[in-house]
Amino acid sequence: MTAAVLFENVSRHFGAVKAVDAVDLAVTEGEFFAMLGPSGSGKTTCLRLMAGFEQPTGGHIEIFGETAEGVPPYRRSVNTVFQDYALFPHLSILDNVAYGLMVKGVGREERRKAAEDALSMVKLPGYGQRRPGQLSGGQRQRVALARALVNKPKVLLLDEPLGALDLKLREQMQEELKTLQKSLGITFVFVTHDQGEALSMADRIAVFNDGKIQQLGTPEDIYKRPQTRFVADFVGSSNVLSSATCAQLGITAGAASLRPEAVTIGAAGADRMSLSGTVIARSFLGAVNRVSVDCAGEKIIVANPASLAVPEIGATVTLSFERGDVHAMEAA
Amino acid sequence: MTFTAETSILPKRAGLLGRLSDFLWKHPSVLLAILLGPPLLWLGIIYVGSLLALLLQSFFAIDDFSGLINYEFTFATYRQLLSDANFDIIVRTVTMAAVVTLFSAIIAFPIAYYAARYAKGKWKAIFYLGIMLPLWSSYLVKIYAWKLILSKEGIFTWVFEKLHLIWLLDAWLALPVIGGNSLSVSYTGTFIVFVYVWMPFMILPIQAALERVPGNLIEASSDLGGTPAQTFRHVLFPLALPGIVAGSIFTFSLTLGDYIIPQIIGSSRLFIGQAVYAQQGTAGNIPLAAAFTVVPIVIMGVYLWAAKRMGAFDAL
Amino acid sequence: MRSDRSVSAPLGLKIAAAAGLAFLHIPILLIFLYAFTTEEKATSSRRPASPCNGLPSPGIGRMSGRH
Repeated sequence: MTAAVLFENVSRHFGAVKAVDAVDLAVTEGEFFAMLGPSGSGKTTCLRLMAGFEQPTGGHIEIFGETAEGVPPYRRSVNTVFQDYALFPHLSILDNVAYGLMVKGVGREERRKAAEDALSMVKLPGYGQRRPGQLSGGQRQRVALARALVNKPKVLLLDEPLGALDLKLREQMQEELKTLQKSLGITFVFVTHDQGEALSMADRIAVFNDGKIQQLGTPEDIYKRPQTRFVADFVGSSNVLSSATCAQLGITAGAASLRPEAVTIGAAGADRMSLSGTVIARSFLGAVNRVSVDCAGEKIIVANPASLAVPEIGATVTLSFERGDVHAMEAA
Repeated sequence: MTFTAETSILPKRAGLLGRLSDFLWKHPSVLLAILLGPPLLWLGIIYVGSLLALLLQSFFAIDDFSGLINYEFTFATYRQLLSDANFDIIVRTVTMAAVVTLFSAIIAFPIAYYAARYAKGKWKAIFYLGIMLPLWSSYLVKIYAWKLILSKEGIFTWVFEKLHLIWLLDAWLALPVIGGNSLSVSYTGTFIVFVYVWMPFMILPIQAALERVPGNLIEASSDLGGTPAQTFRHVLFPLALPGIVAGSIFTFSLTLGDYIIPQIIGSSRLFIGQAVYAQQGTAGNIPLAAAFTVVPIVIMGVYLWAAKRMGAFDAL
Repeated sequence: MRSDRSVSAPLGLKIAAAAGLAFLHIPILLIFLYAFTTEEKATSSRRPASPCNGLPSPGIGRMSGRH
């Protein structure tokens, strides 16, 4: 099967700055693909390369098997939901949604109907006559989505679409986007810096840093088996064990990751590994308690269910965890 | 050491200024009146007042025998204004102003667009300077420079000769109405100089309007399938329209009122400004001069009303 | 990593903008060059007309307020 979007050794350099550097990736048709990374990691530039707003300085891009370098955005069957929505302020909501159809020469009546259907799909029926300025952020986001989807794109690109929404709305939109993607069967490529969002929504995630992909895999892979220190740090703040600690545990590795919730406070069982240390900080986070323990200079964070007792600061405790929860990775 | 102030309410400031501050803080409308009063009085009395006095003059008429103004309300002056010769002047001026405005906008748009969207940092400053610089040199000197360029023995003719295109220039000058003996005595010459002199007044408002258009709207249009021409037609132009209208108010009204450019560069046929100048001068016909000045005011009023009706200010 | 430093202007736009700016500066450049000619040369050439030539003169004083 041809990939929806294929990057072969793609680079985008701005002078000396390597915004995207030798990236290989293949987005499968119909999947929800997330590009995750901090700002300046190259994820947005990758999205812009897919949309055609940027041209690669090296490498090869294909969209559904067709070469995309040198093809302007208006000749790509790819649509974008912009970070700040980019709705046309001088047009009504209906005209905004119908814009793509209008420039393609679809008749007035037909495009009006298609735009109204698209507005119903994003749960904004009857909003057509308003102006973008009269809508809330969440509503504008839905309009931007309808405006992209009305063109029936082969690939939908979303540039941090939920970034400007408040928590409650964001969670609701996450679910809706996921449902919409499954029902339409369109390939979604989603850019975000929020690892929770990427983990909960995506079928596969590419973690970016410094213009390169650090790791590409399913959310479970990325979360449980980070391959680099950066991924371990960025995706849910894993503990990174130094080689000295690894040696103490009988593991030969430059570094290893250990999830905070895989660690329990208390004596080790027969087949569990253990470390001892001093409690240096603790905080209550609702569902869990977060405890920082200093184990011979190595700070280990433990996330335990709130129902368990929490030791006092300064107490000496024993930490235990399964051998299988310690994942060796590159030292860098 | 403490991080909090000693009292939670600070004592009143001493002196007249302290009391004044307190008073104005409590009565913001007084402050507004103090700030707005003098300029409004200036505008109302000096500006609008003298304009009204002028307009009043247009409803009087001159006595044909004595040459004195007859202070009785009459439409005679307006009848005179609409006589064939005078009406020609109005049509000529309005046509010139419209064509000048149109071409100013066409030439100004790429400059404004480049300056607003692509020029960055140092280049932006250079662009601003490049647009403003012509405004700093004397208006008369620039017009005489154009006279040197456009005259029969001038640079323009010389360049066309060197390029072996003199036949083109001759063909142009042979055209009726816009042609003439040389560019410097033709309407074409007048037009070029008008466009030149008012150009910065068109570029700056368009640039200001384009600066406010977020770049991602252009990208969004392109993303949705709009070609560059469609993006211009459906996004860029409507959003720049308030700037174009603002600029056209300058170019249009300045052309309507100018009497020096057509005097130095152009044919001997009069424009409104020259007619006003002649009527209030030797002819001593202040009422007719006043009636002539009413024309640009009415035209600009109609123009703004039409622009508003067409939604030129919707994107503001 | 955004659009700020990407895309240079299309060639047509560059040319149109440059030509427009050149139009604004041709007469100024000319005056500048003219300032270097010697006085005899300048005065021996045809004198440009006064702005008031051809107008029924209403008194020069009224003109001076303009620019």
